[in-house]
Amino acid sequence: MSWLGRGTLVVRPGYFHEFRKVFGRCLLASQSENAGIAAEEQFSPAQSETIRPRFGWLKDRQLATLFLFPTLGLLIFMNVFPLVWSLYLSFTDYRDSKGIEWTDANWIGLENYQKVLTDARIWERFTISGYFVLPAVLVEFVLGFGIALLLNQAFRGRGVITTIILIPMMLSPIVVAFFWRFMFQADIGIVNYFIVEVFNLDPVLWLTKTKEARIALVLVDTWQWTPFIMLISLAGLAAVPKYLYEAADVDRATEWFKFRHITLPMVSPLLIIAVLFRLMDTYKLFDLAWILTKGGGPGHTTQVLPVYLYKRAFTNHYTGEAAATGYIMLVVIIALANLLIRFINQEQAEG
Amino acid sequence: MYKRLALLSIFVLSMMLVSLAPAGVPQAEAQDPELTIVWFAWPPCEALAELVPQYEGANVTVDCVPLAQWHDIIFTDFVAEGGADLPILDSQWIGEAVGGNHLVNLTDWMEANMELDDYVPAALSAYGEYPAGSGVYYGVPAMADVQMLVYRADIFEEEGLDEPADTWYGLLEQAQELKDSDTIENGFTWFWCGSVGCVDQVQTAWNQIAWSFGGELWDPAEYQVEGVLNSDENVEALEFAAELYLTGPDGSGDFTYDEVLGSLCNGTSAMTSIWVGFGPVIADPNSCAEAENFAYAVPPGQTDHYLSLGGQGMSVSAYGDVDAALDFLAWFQMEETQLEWIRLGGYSARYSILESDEFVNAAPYNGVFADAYPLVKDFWNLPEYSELLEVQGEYLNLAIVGEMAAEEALSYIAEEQQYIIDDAYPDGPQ
Repeated sequence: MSWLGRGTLVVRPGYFHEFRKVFGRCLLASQSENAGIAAEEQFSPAQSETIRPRFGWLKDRQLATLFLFPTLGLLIFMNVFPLVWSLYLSFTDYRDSKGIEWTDANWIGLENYQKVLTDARIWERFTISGYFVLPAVLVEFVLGFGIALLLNQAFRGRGVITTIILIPMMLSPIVVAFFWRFMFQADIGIVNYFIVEVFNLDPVLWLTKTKEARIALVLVDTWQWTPFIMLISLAGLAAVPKYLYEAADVDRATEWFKFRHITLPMVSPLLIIAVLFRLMDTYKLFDLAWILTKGGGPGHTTQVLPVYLYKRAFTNHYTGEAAATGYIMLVVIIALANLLIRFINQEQAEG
Repeated sequence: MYKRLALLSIFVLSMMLVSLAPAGVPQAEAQDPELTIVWFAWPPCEALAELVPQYEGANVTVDCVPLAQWHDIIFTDFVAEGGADLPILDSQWIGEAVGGNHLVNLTDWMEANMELDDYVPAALSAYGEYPAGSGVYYGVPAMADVQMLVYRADIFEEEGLDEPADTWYGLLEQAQELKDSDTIENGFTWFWCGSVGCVDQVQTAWNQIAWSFGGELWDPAEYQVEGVLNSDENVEALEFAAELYLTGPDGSGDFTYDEVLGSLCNGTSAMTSIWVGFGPVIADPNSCAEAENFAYAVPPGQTDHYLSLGGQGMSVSAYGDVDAALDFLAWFQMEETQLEWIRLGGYSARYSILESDEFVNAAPYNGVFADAYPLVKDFWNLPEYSELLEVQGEYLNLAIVGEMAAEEALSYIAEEQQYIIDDAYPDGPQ
């Protein structure tokens, strides 16, 4: 994807050549210290040049390959191989519980995909995921960007407040889900304590009513991940050049005008990236639903797609079908991501 | 000068070492074999961990895994042809495990090494036989279990109630009375959770109501679910469950064993029906504040009287140290070991143990266990068990928490389960 290339580290030709020079100097320095010779004397360019040819057999390219090898090996083993293998399995009737080797599974073409796409249960889970992903990302976006605008002002204690707001993001989602479970307990939870005792309202059955359980999931995700959007927005806001505002002030522009025509266009590419990350993350959310609503309760009404996928793959052992579901999910998220990236590119082209 | 070369060599060597490390660890010679047992985390698992050091033939490790992951850990290990030598499977998983050729057939070994006449036949069958009635065994009883009614004797006395009623409707009336009283907040609390992370909780709770109301889950002779599961008796049983649910704590529709025990022990609920295996937690004042106020009874029936079968059998994995595992099983089934097992909080399926004074005196609820165990009934142990279980749990839960009508929920379950069974057995029963 071309947009990724814009920000990646570019390795200049000769990078390793320089590295070798510095590396050689260090070696030399340590030797000279041992020999009691002043290190400074050894750092003349002439002498470092004399070292080079001794290692001439090790070309830049070879050294680079050598250092890349472990990472490449790991990537191929941990990412590429499972991807290709599961793609193959998605075209077979393989079920890992049947005691049959995967090599003996039957090739059934697109049957798994056809089965998944015509399965009402899958579409129901897509809808459940939609009920969770869209409100969660929207609320996180509005709140996160709003808080970032507030924190972008200069005031006392700004650093401390920013740090405190960031804390939820640092916690493990499993831990977060567990303590929110306790807080959402209808009879002894602190949330209902406030609702009943302080506001004199009826207790809310947070985790045993469909609508309430879906709201609870959105609330917890928002609590944990609003800081993420805030952090990225804050970085974007800090990068807006001050002189643009000064120029607008000279022209007596209103605050709204400045926000609409300076802040928003300058920050929007970063905002969209933040939204993109959150979209992908909430779409593949598993841990929160697994703990907070015990895998999708009440019944299956908060069973988001990844939990359903887990269930089909590891509890029911429809390995091939689950692989196909995984690829369908992947295609959907790539399509969504591409839409957003196009949007960024369009914005930038217009800008 | 050659330091750099040396550094590179070290780099390459260390990469090789890292990749070869697991294979290169020197093995101690002629030591006791290592055996692993996997079970889910609950008091009997801890009791088993206390028992196994007494076995001298092997170093036995007991792995108590979270309930929600118990099935998936065992079956993922089977796929990888590894894992525990002695997996303790839930009784209904045997079909799934045998279907994948993951277990050692124990039929001949059991005949040669166990006094089979001394075992409750229903236990031998439920914890190890597959297919049902075939006389082929893949597991031996590890832990016999059944639910007991746990109630607050002090609250019953205060409210002028005698003993818990012996019919479900009678019990509902008592639970409603307690819920409305000022002496305690809630009547009957149960593990109503039915989502996928709760395994079989609402199912084992509701099934015993349905069976006692005269309902059935399916017709095993014809592999017929539709028309059997959504019978009038079962609809009544599910509507009854939704009423009983309302006598428990608000929002207890996602309660699992932990929350039920919590609600009982913190004094907010007056009754539950729970596995005897949790007895040591309930009866110990150190783990349960109200321990001394509890009394125990056999859970009620209605027109019939059935209780869900609990407990599990211990099987031998085809991928472990089979000989050492069989030696351990022989030791575990010995009368002396079983006596020690019940002293630590386990339950035996041997008549000689169940009828012994040691057993009856070992815990205040053991008499109830002896009366309740003959009433047990189990459900499908087909390889499709987990699929059938999930759809049942999810829709039972929706009906119980009031999100769906009982009839609609049962019709949906029946339709889905019929589809699953027809898909797996297009030629009918096997």
